[in-house]
Amino acid sequence: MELQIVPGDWGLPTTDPQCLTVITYCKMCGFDLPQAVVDGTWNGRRVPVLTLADSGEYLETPQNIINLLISRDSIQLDEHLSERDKSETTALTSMLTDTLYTAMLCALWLDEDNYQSVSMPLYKRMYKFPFNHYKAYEMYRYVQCLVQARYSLDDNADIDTILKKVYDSSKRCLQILANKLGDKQYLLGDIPSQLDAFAFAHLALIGSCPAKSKLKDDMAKLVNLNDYTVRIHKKYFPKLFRNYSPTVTEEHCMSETKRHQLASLTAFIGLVGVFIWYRAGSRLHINNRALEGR
Amino acid sequence: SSGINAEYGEATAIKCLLEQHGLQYTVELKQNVEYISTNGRFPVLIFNERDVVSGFAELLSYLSRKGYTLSDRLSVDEKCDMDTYTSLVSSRLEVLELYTAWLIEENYSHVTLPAYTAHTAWPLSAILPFYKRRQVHRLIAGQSEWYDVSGEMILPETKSIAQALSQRLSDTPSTFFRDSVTGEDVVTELDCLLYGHLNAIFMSKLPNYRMKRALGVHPRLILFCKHMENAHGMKKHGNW
Repeated sequence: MELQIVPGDWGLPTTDPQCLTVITYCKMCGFDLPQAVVDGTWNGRRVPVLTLADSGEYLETPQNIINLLISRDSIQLDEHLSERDKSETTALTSMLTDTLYTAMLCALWLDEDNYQSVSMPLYKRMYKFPFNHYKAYEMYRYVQCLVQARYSLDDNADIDTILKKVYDSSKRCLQILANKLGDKQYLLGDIPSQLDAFAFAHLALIGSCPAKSKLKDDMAKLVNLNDYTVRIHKKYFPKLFRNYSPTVTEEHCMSETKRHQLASLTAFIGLVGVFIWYRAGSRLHINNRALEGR
Repeated sequence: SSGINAEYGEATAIKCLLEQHGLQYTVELKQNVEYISTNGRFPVLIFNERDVVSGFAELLSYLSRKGYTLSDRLSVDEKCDMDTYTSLVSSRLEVLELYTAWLIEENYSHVTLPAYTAHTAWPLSAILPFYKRRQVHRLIAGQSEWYDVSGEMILPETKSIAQALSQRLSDTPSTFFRDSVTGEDVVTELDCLLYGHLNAIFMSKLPNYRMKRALGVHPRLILFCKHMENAHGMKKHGNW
């Protein structure tokens, strides 16, 4: 078995919440699942993808992958949960993947500053030129269509109105998670569960990602959720947590943007120079032919 | 309402909510209700010939602003619970109903398309269903786990939702919440919403309806619907 994931950054093994869910689940179970970093897709399929070497089959989506690990390798986190807890796991997982994931996508792709300073550099590291620009535009259109389909029938609906609804939903979800957590170590008691893997994956990315958004501001106000995220981050990804510094990432994003601007300017000057040389050369050639004609 | 099964669930939920509040209402069938709506959701309610409210979620906020709420007796934890399960029903169950009505070819061609275009002249009868279908496809593809839109995901997804709802109703079979002091059932907005959608699914006459089979194996869900009609004064919306 091998888990195909996107590359990591911001002190985390991956920058995709669904890949991080599976990795966190395996860490919490103490299961060492081999991972392979891909550029964003595996054979055209969106990651995470779990490939099974013996049968050649593959599985997508975190829930399907976790279900396989439970059935095949008995890697189980939720044995101690009551019926009510299992029901809440399904409902809360659905809520946070709908609201928080949508809000994260909106923050990264529909905000111009975040798009230029965070999303584009991320995709430039993942994909080669010019594919990175095409993939980034594809993602931007996907997020735009998603929020319009969910919140409005009108293709020309005001995006600010839609974003307000998105962030209101995500704020309510964060409040519910904070209320559920209370003073406990984990969301459903003192032992981690599948719900914690899902919650940590989304909350850690919201907290660590340098993108500025209302979602991040709402989460910063919930102290117990922030402590919970840091606790799990330190416990299950200690090396990455120790080596991560937010200012280094922001500087890296800024310097990467400046490098690309410099490269574009150099390419433009080079093109202008070639054009001038060509024009000067062809005039010289015409003058020489004119002289020979005499 | 255009008579489409997917929207019938929300209409039933709204009727139940209004009945619980003791509010009188009349029903008018309009072909252009989708365009009267302020946010694309329907049914549309018009209060005092002035206020236009579209969909269940907007109705909840409108009623709570006017002081009509069923969940004021709930604690903070119970209100969080209610919002979580409301999100499960409205963002998952409802979307699956839309998928069943619009993206399963047998249902679309035999029931949904004739109902949607019953009073629409050509070429609108060809163009409008195309846009609606595209919107439903985008809505489903936008769910983080369903981006590969296919019929294979509908049954496992419905089973997991049905199991979650059934497990939750194991403690309180007739409503989601009970009064902590008196022990009596407390009917909340969540009960109305769930009853509306379950009623629409169980009463549906779509030829290919795997959701009905997946939900029907949980007797607690059927008992819940019967309780809502028999014990809580709701007008009979189904034949159990």
